[in-house]
Amino acid sequence: MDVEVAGIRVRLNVSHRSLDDAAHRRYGAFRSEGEPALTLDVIVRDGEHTIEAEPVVTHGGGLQYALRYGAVEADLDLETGTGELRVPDDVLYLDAAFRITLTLLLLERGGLLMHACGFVRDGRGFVLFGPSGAGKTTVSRMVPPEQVLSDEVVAVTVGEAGVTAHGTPFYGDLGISNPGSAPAAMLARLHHGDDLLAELSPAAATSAVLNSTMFFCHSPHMTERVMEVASRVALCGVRSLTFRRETHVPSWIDTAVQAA
Amino acid sequence: MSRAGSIQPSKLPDGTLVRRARGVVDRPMGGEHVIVHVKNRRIYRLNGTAAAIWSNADGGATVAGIADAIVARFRVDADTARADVEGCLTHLRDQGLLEVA
Repeated sequence: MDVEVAGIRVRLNVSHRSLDDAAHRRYGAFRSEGEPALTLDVIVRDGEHTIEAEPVVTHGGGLQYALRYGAVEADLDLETGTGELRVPDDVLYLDAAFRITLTLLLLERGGLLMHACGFVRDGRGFVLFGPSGAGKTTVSRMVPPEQVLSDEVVAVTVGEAGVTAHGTPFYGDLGISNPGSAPAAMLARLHHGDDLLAELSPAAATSAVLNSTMFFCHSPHMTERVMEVASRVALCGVRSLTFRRETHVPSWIDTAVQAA
Repeated sequence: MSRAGSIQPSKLPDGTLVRRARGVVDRPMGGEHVIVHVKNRRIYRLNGTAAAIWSNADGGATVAGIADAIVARFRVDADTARADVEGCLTHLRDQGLLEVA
């Protein structure tokens, strides 16, 4: 099946029937047809199902990468657009590998995968990011489900026209995600506290974006690249959005939307 | 523990050379600096004086030289600048962001 996220199409050639069925169920809303940027041959491997605390992505030079993440292994060549993924027969492992693969594909195109919830209202995108507990799920509950891009992971790309927010098939506790993209009217770091919306300095914004960016390849070259994209996103404007848990939810969202 | 009024030895002598560590990625932004330690993935933001101190730590600068640069730039007295520089450099070194020789 071909899956498209943030304008990047990935062909998942899943040889194993039950995993293929699970992939169709999980990524069905993101199906797309056309020439893929990457064709991934997904092979089911036997053995113990483990997941390490941290994925390790090794940059082999050029656009070659190797991923090792417990029972998950992948070798990717983004130059030829080919790769092999070896995972247990469980879609959660495929999901983890697909997510990491997308961080690399996005980075090559000036984009990032962020720990963020996102939604679209009146054609404008809102990306609210932060670690667990920051309020992503709370915010996602405030928004009609069909407007939510994801309650957990949002892709952002940055170009001449600014930042664009994209839905991803990766979701959190609410299990909500939708395909779609919209120019970002607001990017904000979420905090709990008294209601406050404040503009961050470029450095504070860059730091905040970096802290919420999913990034697994820790070579100096790749870190430079992530820093570059994060700073470009930051220069488009990032705010700090503090809100009280007990705030009446819809009015709080409307206030934020009007302020964007 | 030192007693009040006693003179504490300097942790970083005047002639100590300091330079930014390898494996650190940094970017100046609007008078501040964002730094990423590649290995431990920590992210730092340096503002104002700390950013100026960081910028001066180019491998050819000494602690005393950086303090002089801070005096000239921020018009603070020499003792204050020396203390600020030492505190900042010590912190950056302890975080693995700077090397001293």
